[in-house]
Amino acid sequence: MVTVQEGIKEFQGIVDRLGGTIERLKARSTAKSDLIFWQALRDYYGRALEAKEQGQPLIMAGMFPPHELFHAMDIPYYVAENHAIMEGQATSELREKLFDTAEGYGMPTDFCSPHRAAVGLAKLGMQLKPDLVVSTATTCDQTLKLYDLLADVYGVPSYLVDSPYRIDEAGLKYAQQDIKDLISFLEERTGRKLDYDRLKEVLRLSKEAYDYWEKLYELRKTVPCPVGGRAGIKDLTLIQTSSGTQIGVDYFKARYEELKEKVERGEGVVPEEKYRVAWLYVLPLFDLSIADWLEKEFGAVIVVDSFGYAASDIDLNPEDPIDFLVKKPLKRGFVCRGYAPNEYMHFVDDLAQVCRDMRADVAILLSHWSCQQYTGTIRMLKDEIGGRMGLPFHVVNGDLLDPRVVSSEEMKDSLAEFFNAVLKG
Amino acid sequence: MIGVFQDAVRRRQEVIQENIVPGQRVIGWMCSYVPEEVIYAAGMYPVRVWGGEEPTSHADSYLHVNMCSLVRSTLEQALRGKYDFLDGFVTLNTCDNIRRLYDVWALYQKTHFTHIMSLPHKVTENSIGYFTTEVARLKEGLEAAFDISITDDSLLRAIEVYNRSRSLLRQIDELRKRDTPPITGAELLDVVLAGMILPRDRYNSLLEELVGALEGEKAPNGNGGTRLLLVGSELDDSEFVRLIEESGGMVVADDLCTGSHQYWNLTQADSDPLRALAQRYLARPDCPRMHPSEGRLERIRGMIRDYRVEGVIMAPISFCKLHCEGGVDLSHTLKAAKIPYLSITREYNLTSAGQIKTRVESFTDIIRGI
Repeated sequence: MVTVQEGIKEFQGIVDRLGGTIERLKARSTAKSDLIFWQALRDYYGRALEAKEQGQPLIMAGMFPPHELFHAMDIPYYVAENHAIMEGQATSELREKLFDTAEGYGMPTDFCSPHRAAVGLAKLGMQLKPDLVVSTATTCDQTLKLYDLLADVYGVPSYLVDSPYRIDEAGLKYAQQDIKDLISFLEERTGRKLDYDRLKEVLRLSKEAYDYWEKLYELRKTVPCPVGGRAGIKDLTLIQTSSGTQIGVDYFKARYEELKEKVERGEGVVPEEKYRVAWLYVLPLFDLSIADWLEKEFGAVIVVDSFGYAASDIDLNPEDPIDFLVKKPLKRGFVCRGYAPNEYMHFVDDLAQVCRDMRADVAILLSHWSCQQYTGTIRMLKDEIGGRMGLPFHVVNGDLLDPRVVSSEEMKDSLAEFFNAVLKG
Repeated sequence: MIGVFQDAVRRRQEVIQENIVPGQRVIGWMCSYVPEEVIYAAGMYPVRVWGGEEPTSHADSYLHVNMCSLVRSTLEQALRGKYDFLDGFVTLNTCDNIRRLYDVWALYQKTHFTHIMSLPHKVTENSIGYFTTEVARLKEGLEAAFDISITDDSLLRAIEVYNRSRSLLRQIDELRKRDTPPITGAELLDVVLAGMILPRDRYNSLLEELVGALEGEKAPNGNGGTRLLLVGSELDDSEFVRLIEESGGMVVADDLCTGSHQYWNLTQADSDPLRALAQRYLARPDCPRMHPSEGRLERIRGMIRDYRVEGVIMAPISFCKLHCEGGVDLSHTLKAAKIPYLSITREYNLTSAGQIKTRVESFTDIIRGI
């Protein structure tokens, strides 16, 4: 069993490093949103650390539970997968150590690499021991089981926020009651009572941030696109760490204003935007510079990716908090909307429409080795987008966090072959 | 007597065709959480959909090779036309693999009625209420697609018929607690699988005969091997179990969705048959998709005790994330309880029989202290 002190030491190191980054940014000219981003991240880690040091309840959360609820109840949390991705991006030595540790614990090697990293961190004591684990059934089997495993590693209670396979009337009713049961669970386990007025205020802030996030998405439709491929992940990080906080709003407002100015100046990411790329999944997280390479090498700008896709057809009303919390995940990219039958959610048509809306010239799908939720859609997407729409469509094999599956160079070779073929065509 | 069941399994496609009553609709189902009773109550013939022996060359162009071989093999059968006779296909969002199989099937196959149910991941009053609406939705879907009416009386009758099957299978299962059971694990698997192929009423008659024969069995069939519990992904090939039992093992218990999960608990029928079915199916032995995992682990601990199990074989299908990851906490549980276990990751179709045999022989030798 890992010690509490080891986790505190690790998180203190993170908070210190983030503090250093903020100081360096302040000393030089940087975008306002950039500074706010790092401040928000430091606050997020700082809250978790403080909770542990003071013996206050701390939640280990998944990517999709209602984080706003935790803010409203003043229960700090950290998202295991996000943290694992951040740590796994650090060095290849650390990454491989995390994978080895997880595999030694029994996780098969074909398991989602961020998840293996998360279990590795837990077993090595490189993160704070939570008091509770709160996760969701969205979006895949591995997410579902990961948090069971983590709760087991830490020996703490867990709550699964269930995800009905259709958000129809019955599904909505089920999900709403489930959120109410979560509230009861949290109240019972932490001794804190939810103030619904406070929750509404938190949700107003969350909505404000989401509204800006949607506007950012709209700006990316501009030709030339004012922002590059890495944007989606950074934005989503703040969606997960800071939804419902003022700093979250400040970040997205600043981002929006910065990009709006670029749009007004007609300024794109590259001098000459030759290709607009709909990247129909997540970028390879172990090497985000692939997005930069595409821009430099081919003038190809990733105008949308799974994490950066902000759906606008879901209305969120802070005055109806339970409904808000149930529907909120549906705004977040294909990842959540793909957790539904295609005949119901029409996610294949949806993504085709995204390609049209973003005026994509090409569609690329990273086939993450572990992700059955997504690889099972390749043929359907290819037939619709590559076939019926006639958009050049490329599947690049890869992995999110484990370059041993497919290296950066192999991915670049695959992409280069595709772009050269498109250029010749 | 067992031969009838084994024949049904070996010639499954032909046996289904032989048993279709003219004009009767045939509805394929996948996953043991599907409430078959609703299909039976509709006067239709429910048959299990599964894979075949052919390579998955067609299916691999629809479903990535990182998806489990069960769903790819099943899709292969569909793409080859082996399921063209089905009037409907019903499943649930049990796992990512089945979800995407359904999406591809619904889009590319021409089955008249396709339906995917939303299955909760936990058992609470709330989830039972929700799943009741899903069972009702299945009923309404069949009624609308085929212009029929499914009455409460027909549902109650169906529940009675299926409860009978389960009671008889439980009686057979109980015999496995004997020192030398009169039925092997491979044989019982075939008996259970046959219930997914044969018309239910005929199946019950055969089960009645079998129970009579086994209870009166003087000469035990059990091979005296090491008492094993078999846990794992969907298994519809008794050859795998036979291989284990020819290698020093005796499978006296299982935690398989195609095994004991089929018959473990009865439906408590009352005036609300839809809710009764929802309750029965949700409360049946847990698949590793269910939360929390403690329910499943507790059941397995109970089976180890009740069936005097000496070792556990975990047999997930490759890329079956639920069983592979579910095996992590199970292995820790077994280790803590000092129960020997062996993990054999397999493909849907039996491969590497020699290796499996060697591994099981070594495993049983170790347990016996040889």
